[in-house]
Amino acid sequence: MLALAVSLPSAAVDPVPATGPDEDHAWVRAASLGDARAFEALYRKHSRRLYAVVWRLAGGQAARAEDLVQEAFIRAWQALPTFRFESAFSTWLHRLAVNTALMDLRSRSGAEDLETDDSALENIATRDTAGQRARQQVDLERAVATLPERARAVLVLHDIEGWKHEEIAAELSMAVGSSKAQLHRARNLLRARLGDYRG
Amino acid sequence: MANSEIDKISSGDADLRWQLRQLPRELDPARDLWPGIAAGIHARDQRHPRRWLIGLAMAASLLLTVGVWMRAAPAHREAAPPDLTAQVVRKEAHSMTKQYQAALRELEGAPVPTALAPSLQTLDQSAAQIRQAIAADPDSVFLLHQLQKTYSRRLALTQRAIAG
Repeated sequence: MLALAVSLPSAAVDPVPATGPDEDHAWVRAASLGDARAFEALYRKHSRRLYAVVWRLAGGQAARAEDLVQEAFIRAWQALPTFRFESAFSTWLHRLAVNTALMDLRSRSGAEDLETDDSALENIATRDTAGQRARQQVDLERAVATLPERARAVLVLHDIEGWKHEEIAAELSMAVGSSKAQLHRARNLLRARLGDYRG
Repeated sequence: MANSEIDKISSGDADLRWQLRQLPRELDPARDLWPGIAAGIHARDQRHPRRWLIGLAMAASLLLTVGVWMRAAPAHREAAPPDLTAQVVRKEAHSMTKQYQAALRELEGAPVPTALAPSLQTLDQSAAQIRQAIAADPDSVFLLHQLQKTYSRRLALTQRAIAG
């Protein structure tokens, strides 16, 4: 029973043989009762996926993306008692992380864009030693990162994450038509920048 | 520009989208973010304690124990004093209610949005009805479970309202 108490062990999380939503739900139930080890298991399973989308939304700025992912997980911990098990936990968490990143985007509206951090790009570059495809991906990531923030957010959510314009518009507090226009703009800018890199 | 024009996906768009979809779905952060998250949730839990959750979790564990005992050991149950289950349920309902009231006192005074007031009132009424039902049917583990769930929901909703 004491294992359910709030604790913050540094020990590694026990390996769990099963995978999938049921496994997540068991961890969510335990974590919502204060079990930090169960929450760490959820972090270990989902953090890389969340980091990818948040890193792109943050324009490839690693330090900012790391802070945002941490904040998203802390918000998730606080909100766990409200999770109703009607959807996949991964979907719920993904939405929460995107919302956290977009809130940051809105709060920084007008702020000067920082330089893209290339550390994640280096990871991609070493992923495929054959080279050609990896170089193309690095070019593409760099081009996405240099897009204006709102256009980038729409492009990342629509073209990479597969969101619908209605969902993006609601999340970004914009009209559906604006979301479509931003996507059109983002793709044009992206093509132009890729032309520069590859030209 | 008309939406129909924007919607139109040229072959260039299709190629670009294909390239974007090939980007890795997962990336590794440069450092382990868990220590910062653990520190963050610990700090926030200190501001908004969840001790009530521990008490309710203990009650839930006891419920599980009683439930398993009733299902798995009918012979023992027959041999046990007939009112043992009723004693356990009554005692736990009483203990759980005290923990719940203590938890509510911790959250007392914090502003709660008026929109949530009807939900909180409904949960309070449900809890009162379940307690009455337990008084009338004291060996019902099911009712004790319902009481635990109602208290959990009531406290989670209150904490959520306070945490904003």
